[in-house]
Amino acid sequence: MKTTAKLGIAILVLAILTPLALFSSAYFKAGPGWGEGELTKGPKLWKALFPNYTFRGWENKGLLYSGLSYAVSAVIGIAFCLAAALLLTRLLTRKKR
Amino acid sequence: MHIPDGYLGPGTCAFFYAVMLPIWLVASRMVKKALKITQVPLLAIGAAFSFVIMMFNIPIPGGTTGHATGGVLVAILIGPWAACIAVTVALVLQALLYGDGGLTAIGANCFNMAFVLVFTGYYVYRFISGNSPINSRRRVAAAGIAAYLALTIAAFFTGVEFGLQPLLYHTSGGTAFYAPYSLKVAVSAMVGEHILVFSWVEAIVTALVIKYLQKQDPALLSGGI
Repeated sequence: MKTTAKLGIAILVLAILTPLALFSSAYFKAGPGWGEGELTKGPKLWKALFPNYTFRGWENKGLLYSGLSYAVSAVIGIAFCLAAALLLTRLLTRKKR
Repeated sequence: MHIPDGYLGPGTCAFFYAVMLPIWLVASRMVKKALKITQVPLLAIGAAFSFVIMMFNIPIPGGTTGHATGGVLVAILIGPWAACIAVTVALVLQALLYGDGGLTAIGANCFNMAFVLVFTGYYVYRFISGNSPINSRRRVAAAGIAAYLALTIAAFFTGVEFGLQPLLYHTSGGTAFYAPYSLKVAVSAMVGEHILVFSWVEAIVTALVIKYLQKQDPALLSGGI
């Protein structure tokens, strides 16, 4: 198997494991990144698809739900990253072909 | 390390967009000029890897969380300019899709993680590696040290950006409009938690993947642009 394919599979495995990070943060009662959680004022400029990697309406349904939406968000994010990066590099290197 | 909306004043946000604009232009030009067709999938995988590794928030018990970025690893594989593009893609999508990092702070967040981190990591790695063979242990150590230093320095810059806000934007009475922490508090918090925890994670992840690739596909380690 090509290395890039192996790395791709590894990234998908990582995506499925992301809820572990969420669970351990909850277990150790650790909040968001330093300085990121305190301010709530200020205008909302943009409505994210799934704020904080959580499906809308699943915010208070418990860890299992947030874990599931976290992992699905990871997979969706990976798909967007691959598509955006491939599209961008294709546009940039178009003349070479 | 993802600065949200409302933490940096408008001038600071504009400043970092203005700084990043020429960097993004040069990076695009470098990718256009030098990226080999065979490296295109690697850039895309680099963006996806950076995206997902940043979701692994590591808790400091009772405190905050932080994460590795994967940016140094990507820079070692495809070079700093292409890595700048890859990490930028990840950061922009995190902000747009998940509100992780503010839209107004994309310039600053990209400056910290897609520029400072990526370039520091790449050149520290190159400096320590010297002319050592691709499969040498020295390169594994170089990757780890580069990752550790790069994330710590990126955290320092983030701390400075936070810490300058109360000096730049405050009421006549001294109340901060945006991020309220003093420079000293912000820098020591950001640098301290990275020195103690998160930079180690970046170092270990980077070194392990480099070690794996030395065995698996050493050609990947000699092709950065």
